[in-house]
Amino acid sequence: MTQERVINRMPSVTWNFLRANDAKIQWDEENTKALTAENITAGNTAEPVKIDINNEGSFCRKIVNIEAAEGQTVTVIENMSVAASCNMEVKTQIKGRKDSVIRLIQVQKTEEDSLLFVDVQCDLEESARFETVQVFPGKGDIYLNNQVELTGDDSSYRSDIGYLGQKTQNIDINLVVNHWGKRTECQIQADGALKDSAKKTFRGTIDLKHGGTDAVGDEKETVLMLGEDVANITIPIILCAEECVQGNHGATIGELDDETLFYFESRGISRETAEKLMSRAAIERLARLTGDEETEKAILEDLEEVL
Amino acid sequence: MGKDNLLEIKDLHVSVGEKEILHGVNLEVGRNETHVLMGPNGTGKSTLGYAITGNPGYTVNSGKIILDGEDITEMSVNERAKKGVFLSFQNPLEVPGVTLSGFIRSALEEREGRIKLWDFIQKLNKTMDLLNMDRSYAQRDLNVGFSGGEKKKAEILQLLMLEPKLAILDETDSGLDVDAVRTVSQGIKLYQEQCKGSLLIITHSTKILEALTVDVTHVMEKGKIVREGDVSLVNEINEKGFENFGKDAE
Ligand SMILES: Nc1ncnc2c1ncn2[C@@H]1O[C@H](COP(=O)(O)OP(=O)(O)OP(=O)(O)O)[C@@H](O)[C@H]1O
Ligand SMILES: [Mg+2]
Repeated sequence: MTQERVINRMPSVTWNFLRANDAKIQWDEENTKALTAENITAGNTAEPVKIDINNEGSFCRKIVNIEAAEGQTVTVIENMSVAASCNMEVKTQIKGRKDSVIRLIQVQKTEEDSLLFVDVQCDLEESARFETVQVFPGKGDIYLNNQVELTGDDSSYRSDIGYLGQKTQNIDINLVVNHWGKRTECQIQADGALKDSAKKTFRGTIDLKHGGTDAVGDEKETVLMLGEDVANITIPIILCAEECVQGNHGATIGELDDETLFYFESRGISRETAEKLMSRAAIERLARLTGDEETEKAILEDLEEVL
Repeated sequence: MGKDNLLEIKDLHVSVGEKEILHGVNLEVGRNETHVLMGPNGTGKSTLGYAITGNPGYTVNSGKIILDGEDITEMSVNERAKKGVFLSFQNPLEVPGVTLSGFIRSALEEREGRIKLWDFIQKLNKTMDLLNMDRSYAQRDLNVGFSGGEKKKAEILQLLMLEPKLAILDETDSGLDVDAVRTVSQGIKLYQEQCKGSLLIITHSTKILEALTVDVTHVMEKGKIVREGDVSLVNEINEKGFENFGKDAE
């Protein structure tokens, strides 16, 4: 039997009128199938480690553990696909030792009425770096939770998120970056397009903790609103416990208003193409960013299919 | 039709909302000719540019716009662009999410079908070099965070990539520093020579014209063309201002 499950909760619940402090999903814990867990240790191979994660049954959970030893570099590509009316949780737990670099690339391909909950937990030691490229062109609902602990001094995190919301899709993103170490840095870029009556919620918490002197946190968003009925909620939270820290947030909202449309059309670009161009943009950028030809090609093919 | 004109505007009346702004404009531009349109602020120069391009916010009450012998007065913005009308915007819009390169590429593809990516990139790079634009701008969101001058250069880049038959440049030189004016002027010259296109340059200054051969100068006041002449008219205006021309209109 499914029960209400609260996920993507913001650490600081400041106001409630948007009812966006967390997300609630229906989940059947009893009948959740545990998929075989993966354990990846950096240094095994220079090639990216590719994992295909396909749902099994109505409810399933996959656990991936990644550890990068001191000075090691690892790239993991997770290809997640969920069939119609199915629910999947993918939990990736990462430990980055001193001076390691971990790149996690997550690509989603889901059918309508499906649910994917992507949970990423990462802890970094001194001078370690974590990079995520998370690409969501799929048709189902997507819940994303990235929790990054910049524990060691000089550790850093870079997050790139790209989504395309169509029809009644719900895209719910929760990012929490805790800056514990000195001179830690994080950069978040979340871009996407919303069509029809798609809904997106973005919660970005950058917590510049006490003791984390000279830390820098930066979050940026570009949202293209391409429908009358789309909903866009953005809750950026930057907490500063230290004085000599820097936290920035910037959001750009784009839309195809009359003036913008005229600009496109004056170059011979029709409304239809203009909308397509705008919807594709974020996903295309991330496809290039994956740095893996096969993955890039697959993403662009998916995009052709969904648009 | 006396001579072989690319553009003919006949007794054009244009209004925005209830207000008529152009009160019977007549103007002819020959093939591969360069025309200059001057006039005080708020007289309707940009309005004429928008009307030729087909901006739906500007209503043509009467008169005709003829391009290449074809009446385009009722045509959609899209179709006109495909027929070779190009407007360099006085204030280019910022379009987050769409790269400069992607914008130009899809404009070309709408006209010509799928284009070879390699050829496109080669040409884009070459043209950007010519305009002293950093190549990295191709991958930046269209005009987002560009300086005023950079936006104008991006417009000229589009002009050179799209190679229209008719280019209307609306104050492309304003906001450009001395070097940038020279660069842009060279770009326009290249368009003139290579694409054999016709130009209608709306400007308040003469600097941008230095590298170009101007065939005709039109002066607009209060929504009408009040005088036409050769390039010497540009200098005359610069010396005397617009005051004298207004009187001729009555
Ligand atoms: N979209 C609009 N809405 C309302 N009024 C407009 C609009 N466009 C033009 N106008 C009005 O029409 C008149 C002519 O404007 P236009 O922009 O064509 O002048 P211009 O000759 O290009 O001036 P400038 O040299 O300052 O660029 C002005 O009075 C202007 O306020
Ligand atoms: Mg103007």
